[in-house]
Amino acid sequence: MNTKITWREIPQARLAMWALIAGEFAIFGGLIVMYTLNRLKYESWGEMAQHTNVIAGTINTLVLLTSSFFVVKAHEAALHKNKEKVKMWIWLTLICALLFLGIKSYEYYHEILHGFTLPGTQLLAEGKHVETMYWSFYYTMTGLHGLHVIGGALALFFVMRHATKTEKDYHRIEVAGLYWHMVDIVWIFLFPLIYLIH
Amino acid sequence: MNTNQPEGLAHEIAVPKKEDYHGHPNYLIIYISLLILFAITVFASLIPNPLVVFIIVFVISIVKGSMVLLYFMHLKWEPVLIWILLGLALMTLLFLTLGLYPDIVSVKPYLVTKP
Amino acid sequence: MNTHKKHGFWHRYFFSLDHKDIGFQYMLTIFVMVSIGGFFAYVFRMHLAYPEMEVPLFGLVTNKDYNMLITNHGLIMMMWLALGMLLAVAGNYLIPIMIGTDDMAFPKLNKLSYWFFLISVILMISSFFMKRGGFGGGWTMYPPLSVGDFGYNTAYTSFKDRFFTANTFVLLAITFEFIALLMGGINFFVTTLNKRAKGMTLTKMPMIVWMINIASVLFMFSVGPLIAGAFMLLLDINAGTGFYDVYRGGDPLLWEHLFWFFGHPEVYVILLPPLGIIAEIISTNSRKPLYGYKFILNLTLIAAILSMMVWAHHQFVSGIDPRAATIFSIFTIIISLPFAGIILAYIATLWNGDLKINLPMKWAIGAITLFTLIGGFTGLYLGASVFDIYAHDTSFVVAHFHYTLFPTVIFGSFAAFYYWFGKFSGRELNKFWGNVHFWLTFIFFNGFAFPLFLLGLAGQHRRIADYRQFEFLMQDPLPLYRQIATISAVILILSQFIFIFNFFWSLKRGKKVTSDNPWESNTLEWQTASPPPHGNFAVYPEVHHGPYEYNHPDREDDFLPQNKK
Repeated sequence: MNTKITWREIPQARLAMWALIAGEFAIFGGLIVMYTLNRLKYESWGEMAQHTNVIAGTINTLVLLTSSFFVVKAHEAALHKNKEKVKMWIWLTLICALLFLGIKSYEYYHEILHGFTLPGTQLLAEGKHVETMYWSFYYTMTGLHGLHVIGGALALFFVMRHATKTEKDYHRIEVAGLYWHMVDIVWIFLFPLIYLIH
Repeated sequence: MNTNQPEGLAHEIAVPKKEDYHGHPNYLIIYISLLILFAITVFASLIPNPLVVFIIVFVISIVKGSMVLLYFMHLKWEPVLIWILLGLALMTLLFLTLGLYPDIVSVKPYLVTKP
Repeated sequence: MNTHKKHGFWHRYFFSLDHKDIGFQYMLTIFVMVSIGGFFAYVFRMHLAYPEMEVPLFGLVTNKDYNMLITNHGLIMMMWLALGMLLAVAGNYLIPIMIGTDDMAFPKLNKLSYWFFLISVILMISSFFMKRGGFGGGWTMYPPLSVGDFGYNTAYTSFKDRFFTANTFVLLAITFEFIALLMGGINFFVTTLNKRAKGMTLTKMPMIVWMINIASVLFMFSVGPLIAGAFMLLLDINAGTGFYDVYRGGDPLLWEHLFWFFGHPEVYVILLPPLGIIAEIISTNSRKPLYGYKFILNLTLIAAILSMMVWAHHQFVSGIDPRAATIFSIFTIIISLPFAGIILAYIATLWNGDLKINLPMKWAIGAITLFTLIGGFTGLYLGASVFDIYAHDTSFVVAHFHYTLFPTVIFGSFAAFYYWFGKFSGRELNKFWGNVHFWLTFIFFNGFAFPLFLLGLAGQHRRIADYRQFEFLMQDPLPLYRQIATISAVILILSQFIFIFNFFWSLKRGKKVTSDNPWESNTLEWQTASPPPHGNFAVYPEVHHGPYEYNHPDREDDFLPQNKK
């Protein structure tokens, strides 16, 4: 905690982004709370969690953690107004984002092939009513997170293009980066809760 | 433009001296420790008792999340205000959890058959 | 700085980045929404009192129509009028100018938030014209009613059939409105913290700025879980999931929790800005400093945190855990203490003051009187589960929340209109018609809401379209009470036309203001020209004093503007 800086000295874009992040934590946190409490209630969801692709999820976590590291390096480069390095680190981040989305779509594809869909029609036919909600939560949480990945990647891309073209507004890279870290933190909580607890 | 603002808040300058109050930790070390914690999480999930796994995994997630917050997002160097903001978000979630707990977890699943 | 050019219509009403223009756009949009909500209220009140009559301008009200009217009346008034008028309009007009700066921190974000608001209004209005009719599931949108005609136990029909329903559109409209207000709230927050005039410390800010900011932050956090919940409800309607379906392990109670987790703090979100407006007005017009600035501030912060722990008192009969009900009852009763403290501070401000009973003052005093004496006290009864289980969902509840919301939202907004109209338009509202408007509103509001208490205690349930089927509700004098309530409500609605006419006539033809500071107030907005130019100030003010230094013993004149040395 920094007590030397007065509130007024926080740059306004960064302050706004922190407020947005706090708001997003309330949204995702709400979902995670609901999921976790239901998970504690229904033991049969553990059986469903075994049908998720843990290897793909693990790779995805690695990808997002790495991308977080790239973004922070981009921020460091932006501090020195190093145009080439900013470009390089942001592009690496964007590749990570695409990789994440690709692996996620692969997972979705296979799960839907096995009949685990959002309404869970096939599970209902098998008489597994409660289990359908596991998949509903799975798709809702990862889907909402995926939308945030797309949004964050687009923000990083446009901010990087603007900064490297006009040689100004480098501080925006840090702000978009903050958002990207938020997306990463959400995934840090989602991954073990969804995939790992059987 | 507003002539009224204190200097250093005009954003035409990339990073005015005054705004750069962040420390710059060694990001690589933090990244590697995040990876180590992540490996622990994955191996912990092999424990057969789900409740134990849940507790271990959740605690490690909190540690990892706060590492990203503190060092990658430089929360460690941010003023109290931002800590308050995030604290309020956590407080909201705490109240929500306490309020929902009795009505979700301690209620037996309904046995409803299709009409 | 004074580049006040005449802009064209499109520029002024769609593309302007100036905070005052955006506030005006919000205001006009909200006027449209309020007219719709008021019209709905007129139709269903007429139907309740005279069930066999064809309501003029509408026709015969069927049960389905009644559900749709009452649902949309509630939604429009709560979400668009109350939140919009008190956060968006008041925040946009007042925050930048009262803290002495030119505009919001992010003018383009501000513009974007208005556009989102406009989209939400369009979605909401188009929901009335869906093939299956408007949304009729109650303004609280409890599933399974809000899942639509399909319910949970029907086979999945086509996506098109499910998407183009009023349910989906209302949910989308509310989502868009929340996004608009979130963007607005972040903007207010950053503006207040980062763009204050030189010398304006946090405790030298006018109370209203604090109140709007606390309300915005409270809104931002309490709405988070509801956004997640609304996303889930949207999937329940459109994708066939079962988050709130008991058959699939979900629980409709979850939605009630999420809704009220937002819904109860929201009551305080829309209570705080009027309290701020009232603080400004009574302090100026009693020529005394606001009693206990920091006291009020601390109580507000305590109340804001407490307000997140009281939500389940709306669900005492919904089947929540009875142990939790006790806890929520206790917190509900505790939360009345900070507000009692704030009201006491206001009364202490009025005490022994050199009272100037002008129009804004009438509205302000009317607001605190009605809100405290009737709205607040009946809230204490309803907060205790013992009484609430009896009175739940009766007209008693309706009367209670009209007595809390009408004085704060409507009286508070009118107080603000009559107080700041001259500043922002450069012309005066007609005083005679203003007085007529005040007395008609005050009298007939009571005439409308008070009989509802008696009806509620007699057992009149609030969501029944036609009371003729219940013999005990048709005994004397209950139909008479309903007729009194209805006639008063109709006169109440009609008397608002006086204001609308007065507003638009004065905007074009009203008498030009003679002074920039007619109330002799201290805060910064009165120290610039009226209407304020683009950029608000010719010379940026430097603040030397607190906002409420009236009748300072060392000075000859009884007020001391904040920017005067």
